[in-house]
Amino acid sequence: MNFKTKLSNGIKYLQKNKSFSIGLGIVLITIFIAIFADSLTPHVPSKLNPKFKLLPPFWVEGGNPKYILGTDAIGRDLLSRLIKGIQMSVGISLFSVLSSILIGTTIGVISGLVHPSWLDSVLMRITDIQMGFPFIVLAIIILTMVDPTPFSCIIVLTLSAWPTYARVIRSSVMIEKSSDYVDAAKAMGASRARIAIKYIGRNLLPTIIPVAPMDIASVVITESLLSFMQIGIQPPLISLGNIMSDGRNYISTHWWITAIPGFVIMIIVIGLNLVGDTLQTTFDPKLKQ
Amino acid sequence: MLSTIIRRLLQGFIVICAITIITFIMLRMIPGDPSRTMAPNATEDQLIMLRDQMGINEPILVQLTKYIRNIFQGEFGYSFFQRANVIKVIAGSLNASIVLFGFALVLSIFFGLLFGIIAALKANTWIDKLFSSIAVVFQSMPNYWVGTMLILFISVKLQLLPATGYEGFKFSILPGIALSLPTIAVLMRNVRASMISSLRQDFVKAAKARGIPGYIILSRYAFRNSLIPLLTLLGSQLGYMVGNMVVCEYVFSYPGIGLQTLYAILRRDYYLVQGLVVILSGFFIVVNMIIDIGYTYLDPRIRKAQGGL
Amino acid sequence: MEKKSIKVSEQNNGKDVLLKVKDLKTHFFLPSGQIVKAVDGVTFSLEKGKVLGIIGESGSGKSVTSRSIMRIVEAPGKIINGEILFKGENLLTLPESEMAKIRGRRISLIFQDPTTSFNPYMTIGQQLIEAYRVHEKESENKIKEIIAQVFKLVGISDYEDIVKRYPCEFSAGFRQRIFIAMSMIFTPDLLIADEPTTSLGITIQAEIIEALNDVKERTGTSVIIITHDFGVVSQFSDDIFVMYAGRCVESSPKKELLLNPMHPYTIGLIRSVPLLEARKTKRLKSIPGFPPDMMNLPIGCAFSNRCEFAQDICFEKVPDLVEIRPNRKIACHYPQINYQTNQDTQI
Repeated sequence: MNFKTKLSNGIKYLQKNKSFSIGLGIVLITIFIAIFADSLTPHVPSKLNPKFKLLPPFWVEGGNPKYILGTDAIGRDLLSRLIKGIQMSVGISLFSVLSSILIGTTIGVISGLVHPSWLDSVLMRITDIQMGFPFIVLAIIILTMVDPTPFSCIIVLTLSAWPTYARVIRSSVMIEKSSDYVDAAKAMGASRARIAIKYIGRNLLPTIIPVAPMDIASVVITESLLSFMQIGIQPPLISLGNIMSDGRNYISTHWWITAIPGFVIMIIVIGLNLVGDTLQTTFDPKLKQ
Repeated sequence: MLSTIIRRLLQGFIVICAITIITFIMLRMIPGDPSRTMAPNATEDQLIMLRDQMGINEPILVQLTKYIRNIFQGEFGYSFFQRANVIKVIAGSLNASIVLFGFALVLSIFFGLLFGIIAALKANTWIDKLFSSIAVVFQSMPNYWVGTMLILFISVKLQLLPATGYEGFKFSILPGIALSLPTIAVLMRNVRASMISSLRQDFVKAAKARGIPGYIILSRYAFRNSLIPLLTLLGSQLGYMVGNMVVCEYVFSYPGIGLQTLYAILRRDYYLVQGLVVILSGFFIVVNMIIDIGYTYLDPRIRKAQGGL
Repeated sequence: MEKKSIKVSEQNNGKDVLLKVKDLKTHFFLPSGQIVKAVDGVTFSLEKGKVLGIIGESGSGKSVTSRSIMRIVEAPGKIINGEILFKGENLLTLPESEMAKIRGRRISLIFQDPTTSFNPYMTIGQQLIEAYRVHEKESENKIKEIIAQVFKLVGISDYEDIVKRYPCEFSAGFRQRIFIAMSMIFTPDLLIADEPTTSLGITIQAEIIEALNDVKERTGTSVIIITHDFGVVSQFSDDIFVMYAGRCVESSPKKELLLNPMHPYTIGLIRSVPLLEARKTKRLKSIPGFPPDMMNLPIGCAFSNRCEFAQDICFEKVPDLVEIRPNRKIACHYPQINYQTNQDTQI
């Protein structure tokens, strides 16, 4: 089955699938917010307002409808900060996943196609080390080593995500390589490079698409975690994680500062997981019931 | 069989060595001088003496070889800040972590299996859909946020359980719950999937046709057959759980080895970080090795292929 | 143990009828709302000690028929109509607990693929002992004696070593032998073999059929053999029951059917068997078209779109199953009464 028929079958299947529609809706709204964040914020996110410190959301007693989700300890509008935070988190996550895909695919294709034994065993050991070494410890060490800018966050997150892609691409290249049509092409004298290019055209997307959404989801969580632990995005930049970290000291009296951004992350991640789940079952007929 | 064990031990040993060397080099690259953090008011001469005492004046490679040689003699060095043997410091906080991890693991396995089996038996009914939706939510909640919310509702609002510190088992309950939720979700989904596929196997149908009662089919046929993929999964989940444990200990200020690691890194307490990293990754590698050996033992097909135990 | 379940057998033309299936309907209710009529009004009976061959292509409902008799049809399948009289007792109205006592003791089912029909994690002995103990409490030594006997029945003499081993240590053919032995552990009245040779090699197929035949001869058990292969039923059955798209299209004693098949589908099946027809036509013919799409059956006769004799009425009306001669039933608007196969090809 080629990619086009797979895709059109997939689309038919997806149209019937309710959880996919919900997930896609969430993802699209999130992307919309991230793109138009600057025009969506009702207040300037960094503007202090000493008169309205620690306002609760408008539906709670004492709330002010001008500040829909309330304000933080120094009177900054939470909704505006939330919107900017979404922009930052989504941006960082997307860049990290894109660079992971880039690095992972390159190494995966080389390893699967040529497979020099040293690269194979290095990949295997990296997998082992990654599984055996709590990533968070590595992230803390690196982020204390360098300045915690958005760029270094992207590097750390890329470091955590690329081997997944290298592995899936590698194994699918190996499967593809042993298939008959590649043998036929070889018999006709096609070069390895030609086969590689043909392969990338045919099979890259079907291999990556099912993995990517869930991967973005886990990167979103990790990014917010780093910021929450104050080793990721640093103020005055705003991320969902550091809004929560600000609110942590007020958790017993002003819960909304921590609760709402976490809830937003959860919704975004649910959306991505629902999309990823469905894509995985659609692209992998073994899982389809 | 013996050769498999030896090979696995060797692989694990190489991985631990690699992790040790990587952390060693990276730690030395962190800007900041531990001697200065230790004695902020000391003069330059005093600092040099201090660094000599701490053994961090020599070139990195010399330090590394010395360190590795010491490890083989069972010496993991001293913690600069706690002024005690690294092993003693780790042993002091290990107990709290073992309680936390063990509790979370028990919760995860129990509820993961329970909900997974129920969902598989009620596949495609509303119960199954409810459980699966809950699993998606559990999987999607940031761990540290769940912890914070548990503190808010259970400790602050309801005042049922303590939020921070460790003075006994009840201090482990909330962090344990926070730590187990994502693993419950992952286990549940996989138990469900593998039980459904086991229940479709011919030998399950054949057992039914022999009049074998449902509970035996469930335990001795379907579940037994799902066990091996689940064991492998559990092995990789333990790695995530160790990482999440560090986070949970941070959120709950729970004085285990995770929190110890965080402070050690931030204080540039080199040898303590080193020792903790070896413990954390060693734990994971050993557990996975046990699982590997476990399933060769569990599956007669693999066992026979390897020529007996 | 048997005293309870034995009742006065139903007398039918002076013969001892063991199993009588009347107008059985098993339908599958798919989540999409579609209904697959896998078995749609099947009627047949089986005498004691006889062998009935049910033949049809995959999807014709033959396996669902066997699972309906055992009442182990999987969801979303449901038996919605009919009677299954086993020794005069309707299995479909028995409580589940009573039915469980019949499965594996009075009726046994042999599966298609012996490489998947054993539990891979239990030794052969454990599975045989379990199969026995589900129904009867007995000491392990006594059960082992019985195991030795049933192994002898299928031609295995050294049981001691075999029971200690796992299924994965034996070849597919040998596993099928063991499975037959396990099915005979209570000497059931009825043995249903659902494509017992399909997954095996040609020479092993013959051995398994021989083993089944031995078992039948020595114990007097009645057998239903389900297959898509006329070669199998022509060697080993007394009556043949041809199914197509969930219904019976032709039923007859074996000899008559092989000499003079009347339903165009039966003719097509026989023509496609090398042993039976090759010498006459020099060329094997396969039935044109594809097995029926059970979600989308033709309005009239289900076989109409593949039938070379079809007329207008075949596309409009489903033919009834008519007894055109004693013991010969056929469901066709244009039965080929005069069609003859080559007589000297009989086995």
